[in-house]
Amino acid sequence: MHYAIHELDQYRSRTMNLFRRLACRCHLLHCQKCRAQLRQLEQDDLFLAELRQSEQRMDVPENPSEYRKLCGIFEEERHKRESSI
Amino acid sequence: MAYTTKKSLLEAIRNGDEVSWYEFYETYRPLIVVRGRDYKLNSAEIDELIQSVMLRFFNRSRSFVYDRSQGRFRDYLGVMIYHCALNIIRSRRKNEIGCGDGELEMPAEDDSRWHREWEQHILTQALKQLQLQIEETTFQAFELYAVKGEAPEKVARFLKTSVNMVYVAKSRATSRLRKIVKQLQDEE
Ligand SMILES: [Zn+2]
Repeated sequence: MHYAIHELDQYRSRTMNLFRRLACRCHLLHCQKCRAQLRQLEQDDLFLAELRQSEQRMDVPENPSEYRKLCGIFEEERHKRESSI
Repeated sequence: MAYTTKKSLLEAIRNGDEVSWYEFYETYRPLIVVRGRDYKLNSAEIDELIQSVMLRFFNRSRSFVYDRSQGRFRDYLGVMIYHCALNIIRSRRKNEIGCGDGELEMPAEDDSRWHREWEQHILTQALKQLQLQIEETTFQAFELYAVKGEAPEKVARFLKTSVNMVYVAKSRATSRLRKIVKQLQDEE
């Protein structure tokens, strides 16, 4: 019987109670499959840390006046084109 | 056309599809702003940078078709932003007493910084695509727990689901997100 993903995640995040945690550690000592799953979760956490950093970096405030200005430029050109047809 | 589950904007650009100015603005504006900050532009100059990049791409027309002979879009966009920023800095320097018209001095690691920012941009785009591809509750659980760092118990209560489901959502969504990132990288 192997550990489910959520159980391994709980083990990693230390939200598992002490008794279950010890049992899980014993299981991990001899189970290659669960160890591989645990490594995958570690990789996931690195990936998600990068995602969080990216979200923060690319979170730039909107600028309605800049947007309106661009709308104006592109609309003006559309009118010019339509009137020239 | 909205680039949703079927096609990303990047894929459309690479395929030479017609791209609308609004779609382009929505997608690349944060990246241009970040780049402007790298070049130490002030906020008015960053507005100017966005406008001049947009105008260079679209030449005042509402859509554009990318010429693939220009090479990889990432490199093309990076060079385009650099030139627009350079023009802004040059015109600022002209107005400053005692400043010559020099090249924009960039640190040696600028290229690697741009590639890192591009990858960060890809990740944020992938997250947007993920939202369109998975069930709403799964996405919310993933976003609250894995991205925003809320406690899984709190997320489970908020979404009226089990804590296990929150962990499973994180694992499934992460795996799907990796695939989307890979797809976006391959589309370049
Ligand atoms: Zn096992």
